[in-house]
Amino acid sequence: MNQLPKESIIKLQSHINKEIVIQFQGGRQVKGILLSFDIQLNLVMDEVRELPSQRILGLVICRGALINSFAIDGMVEIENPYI
Amino acid sequence: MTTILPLGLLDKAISSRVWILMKDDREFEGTLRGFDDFFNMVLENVIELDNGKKNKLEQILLNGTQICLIIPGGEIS
Repeated sequence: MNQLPKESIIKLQSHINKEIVIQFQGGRQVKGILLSFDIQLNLVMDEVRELPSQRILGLVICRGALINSFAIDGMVEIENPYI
Repeated sequence: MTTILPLGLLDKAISSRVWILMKDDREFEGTLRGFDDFFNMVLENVIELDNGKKNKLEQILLNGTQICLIIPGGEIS
């Protein structure tokens, strides 16, 4: 069995200093500028606002272990296609 | 320009107030005494916000598995 390289398949370096929206397990969503990250996907983000309340959080550390997904270039709400 | 890593930022926050948002609707604000690789944290002079109810706790060990967001120097708002 070939050893896979120990490199993350997620290339976050290109999203540094860009605005992203993160969704967490448990339903929390935040929007902010990605400053840095580590191998476990813990993030440092700035100018963070919690969604949908727009509560300002500021400079924040996000736990990679609880991240479900991220969106870059914003998201657009669509009609529910499953109904 | 050096970028700061998440654990580095947390290390800098030791001895200051931190505001922690859990996976569910709970929040904690306290003085960070220390943490480990799993983000388990020791906090002092803690205010816990649980469903709108505030509790005061002198010293706690907060389980890292449920911690979602950490705001150094932050306050429950």
